[in-house]
Amino acid sequence: MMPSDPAHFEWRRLHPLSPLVGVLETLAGYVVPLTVILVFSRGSRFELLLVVSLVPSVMISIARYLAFSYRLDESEVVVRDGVIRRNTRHVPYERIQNIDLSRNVLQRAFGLSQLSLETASGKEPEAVFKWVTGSEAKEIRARVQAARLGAGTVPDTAPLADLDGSGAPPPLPEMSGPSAPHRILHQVPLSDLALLGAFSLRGLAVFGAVFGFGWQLGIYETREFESWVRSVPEWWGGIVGHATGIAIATGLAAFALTSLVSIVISIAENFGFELADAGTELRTKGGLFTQHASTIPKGRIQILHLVSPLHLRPFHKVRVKAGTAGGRAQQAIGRAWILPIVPRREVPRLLESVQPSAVLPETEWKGVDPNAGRRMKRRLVLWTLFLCAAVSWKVGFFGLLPLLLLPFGIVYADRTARHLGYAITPDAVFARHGWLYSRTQIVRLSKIQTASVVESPFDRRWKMASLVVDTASPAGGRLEVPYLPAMVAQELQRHLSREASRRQFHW
Amino acid sequence: MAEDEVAHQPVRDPEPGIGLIPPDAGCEFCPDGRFYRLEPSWLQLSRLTGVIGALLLGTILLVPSVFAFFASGLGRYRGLVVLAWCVVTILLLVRAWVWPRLAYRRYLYRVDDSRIQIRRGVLWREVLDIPRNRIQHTDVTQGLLERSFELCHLVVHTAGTTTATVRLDGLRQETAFRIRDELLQSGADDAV
Repeated sequence: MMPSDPAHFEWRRLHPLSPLVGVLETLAGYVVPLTVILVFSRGSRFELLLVVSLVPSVMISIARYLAFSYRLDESEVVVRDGVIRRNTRHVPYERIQNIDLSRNVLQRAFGLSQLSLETASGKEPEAVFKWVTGSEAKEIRARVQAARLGAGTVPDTAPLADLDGSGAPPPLPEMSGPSAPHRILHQVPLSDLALLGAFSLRGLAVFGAVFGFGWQLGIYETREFESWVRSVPEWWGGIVGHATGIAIATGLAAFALTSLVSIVISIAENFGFELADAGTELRTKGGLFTQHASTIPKGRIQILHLVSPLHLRPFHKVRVKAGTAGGRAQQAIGRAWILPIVPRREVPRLLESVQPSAVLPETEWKGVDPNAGRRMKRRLVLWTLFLCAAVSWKVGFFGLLPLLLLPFGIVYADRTARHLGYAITPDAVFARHGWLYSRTQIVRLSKIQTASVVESPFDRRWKMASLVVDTASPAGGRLEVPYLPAMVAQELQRHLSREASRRQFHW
Repeated sequence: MAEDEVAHQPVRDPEPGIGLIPPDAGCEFCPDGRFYRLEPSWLQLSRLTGVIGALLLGTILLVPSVFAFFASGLGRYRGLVVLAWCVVTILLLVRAWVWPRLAYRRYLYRVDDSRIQIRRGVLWREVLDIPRNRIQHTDVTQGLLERSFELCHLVVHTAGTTTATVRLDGLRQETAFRIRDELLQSGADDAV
């Protein structure tokens, strides 16, 4: 199809199976409660209730499907939706910040995926297509890419379309048109994903859910459960010995189980995660059950975060997050990680591809005010003494116990202060924070929106100030360097705002 | 101290060599990087809004105070409730009267060829630089109270997050329009 072909500008519907998938998805959400109802109702009228409760969901799905239509014009995508309040939206291809594609197990079974288009307008994706086939998704992506490249012609997507009809769970459509060379930058090995999950404690949520579920069912009040609890010390004690042993072993076992579940979650979420370089854009994909693929134009990255939590440090791993102007929702669900985990030594090479101007100048780091450590330590000591005094006034001697932690706190403050730093290259500004949880932020000078110097009354006492750089990225888009000598902060601000004013900002 | 005195009082020059223009010195706004103060009448305006706010808060605090006075078992100590309410309300009023002068002294702005800069804050001070080509659009707005003081404020919109909208208070309408037109000039090219 050529762009001039009027057939291109037809209104289109989503895939006809969409309502069915919608209903099935609603059903899937009900699986647990429904099973419970069916098991415990033992053939009363609940089945009927179940069928009745499905009717609104079916109707809503069909109505949504009928209400939703879209049109791919030459320069924009037009979306009509809304059952009661009709809504027509025009989203110019050029304004699309990133494209997010995901498919869960159910959608995969039907060869469909969910596509969301995000613009800089922030909060929610501009248009969510629930659900389209791989070839349609590909066409939309190709058009957006073509518009971004400024090429007047839309790449012919026809040859790619047949990828999808090949039956058996097809891979997520690889959006590389013939024009875009697709180079895989990094693939996250399974061992790294396991490492990522091991200490994340996300399994706790699952335990919480299981516990709550059991509570709902009243398991904990049954006699069987009670006698089981009573029997635990016997057999458990037989394995590990006396009371303290039991306590420690139980703790360890709980941690191990949580870890295990967390590992499973982490792997399921990011299985086969890969970051690829496709010329002007980055592509990520991954996921075992629910697969997702994101397209992030390189030029639209407002801020980069390099994060290294305590538990990844010994393994020399970091995580890399990219903040774009849109996609608050996306960032909330953690899709903003362009690399959930990566060896530290790989970072310079990857940054070279991700943002050539954002390569870390290891030698150019500058520290903050030399008194920053003293200031943090003094604040910590004063606060601790004040709180301890207040608490021990109420509860007596035991209120002083936190003082034992003070040496650690002092070391912590000292290290944190020493870790604070910034660096400025001709193209970007860097900030470094944190000791136990270390973070590096990178903002290109062309993405700076405003630069400010903020001075608290305490800052003034120490002749310090903070430098704050704001970007267009809604989640964590502020780069901040605290405890700078006031003069340095002013100087940096002047430099940054002048440099920013010399560079045109393109979303 | 009389209000004019405040306006004419020399401020500690944040950057030596750059003069400070009091708005009533007969100088019109000029984007040459010199600092400008707000209109002196902004002081009265913010005192008025401050006093209104204080009275409002005082009235709201009256509810729990009355409740505590009549319905709690404070016995003969309940006179303290009245005292506390009076002290809090008076403090609020004093703050509403004194604070604007401090804020006025610290509130400066300037425009040069690359940025608009706003300095403000009494305890927590802020110097905000908005590069001129980062301005998405500007609004000149006049509130109800502002109208009676013949003042308005300029709102500068950027693509940022915490600085997505930046407000510059206490401008005469001509000044606000002049700043707006000045800022518009550089933003004429297609930035997005």
